[in-house]
Amino acid sequence: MSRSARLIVFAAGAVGLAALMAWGFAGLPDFGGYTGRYGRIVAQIAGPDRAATNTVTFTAFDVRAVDTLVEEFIVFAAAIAAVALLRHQRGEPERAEHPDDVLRPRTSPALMVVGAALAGPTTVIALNVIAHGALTPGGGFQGGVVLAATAVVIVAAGARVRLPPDEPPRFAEFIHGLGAAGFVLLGLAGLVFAGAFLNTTWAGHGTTGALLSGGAIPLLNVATGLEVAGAIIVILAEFLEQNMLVVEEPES
Amino acid sequence: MTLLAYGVAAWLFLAGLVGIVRSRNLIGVVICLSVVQSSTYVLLLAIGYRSGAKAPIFADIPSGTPVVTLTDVVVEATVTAVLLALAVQAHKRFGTLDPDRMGVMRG
Repeated sequence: MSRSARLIVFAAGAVGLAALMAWGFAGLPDFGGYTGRYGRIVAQIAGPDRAATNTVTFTAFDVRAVDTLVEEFIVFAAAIAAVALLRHQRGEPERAEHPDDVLRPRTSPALMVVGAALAGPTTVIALNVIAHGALTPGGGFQGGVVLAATAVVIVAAGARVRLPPDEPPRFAEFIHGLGAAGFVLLGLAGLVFAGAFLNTTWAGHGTTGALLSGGAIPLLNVATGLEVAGAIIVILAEFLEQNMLVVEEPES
Repeated sequence: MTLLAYGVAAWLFLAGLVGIVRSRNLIGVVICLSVVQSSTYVLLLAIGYRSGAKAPIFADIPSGTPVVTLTDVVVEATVTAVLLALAVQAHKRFGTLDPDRMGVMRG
């Protein structure tokens, strides 16, 4: 199909879609006038039932924890897919002859200083965001991304990395799998100790506002944080290996 | 305000679709897809927003605490990475990122 014909077909479809969207949106509640019961009920039970003060995390990791499990596995699958797609192809220049090459990013002194200075604070912020998921805005997904950023900052600071060809970084792959398995195991713990998969009450409530409160929600956040951080580091390492790192010249 | 909120969602969705159809570069397609996805965030927020209400977080938060994101934003980022990996593979195989010039897929 030629380009112009394709655009005409698309235009016809898009006009129809726009009309359907206008029709559908007309039936939605006015902006600011949400009256659904779901949000109100969840907000009412978060405190008394689970000692969780962050209703958003309570929803994601307790009321709808199965949805979050599936989202986590999308991240898990995406990381594996990226590794599979970016693996060494036949007919490409071989790196396998020198599997022990030490790779180094092209970096500048200013970037090295900033990277080195940021590595510590970023780690602390990441752990803080993950640990307080049940209490304040934050949680495993957000903290996991910040944790992965720590690895990026360290590489930007000029860290030498060894990436064996055809193999994702072992440590990141390990915490990636540990996080995914941990989420399922915590769900099974709910099944064994509280009678329902991903029931979080078995871990006890704790005092409202304390670091260890909200049942198993903090544990689920830690699992998610590890999984997300591992997945993103695996993906970034694969992209880095493509051509952003240079083989370090042996020092003479 | 109602019109604006839902209008932005519909606009982002359709503008992203137009971008995907017109794009001459696979990376452009991936970016346009994330524009389409972001329309769903605007729609969700527009439906769920309640005027004059506070965020349902009942801890005493020191002012300035940021970080409210959707789990889906992370998922979108990782899925985008997979799509970009596909673009890398397509470029290796066909030597171009223009979807129209890629010709017949080979095994």
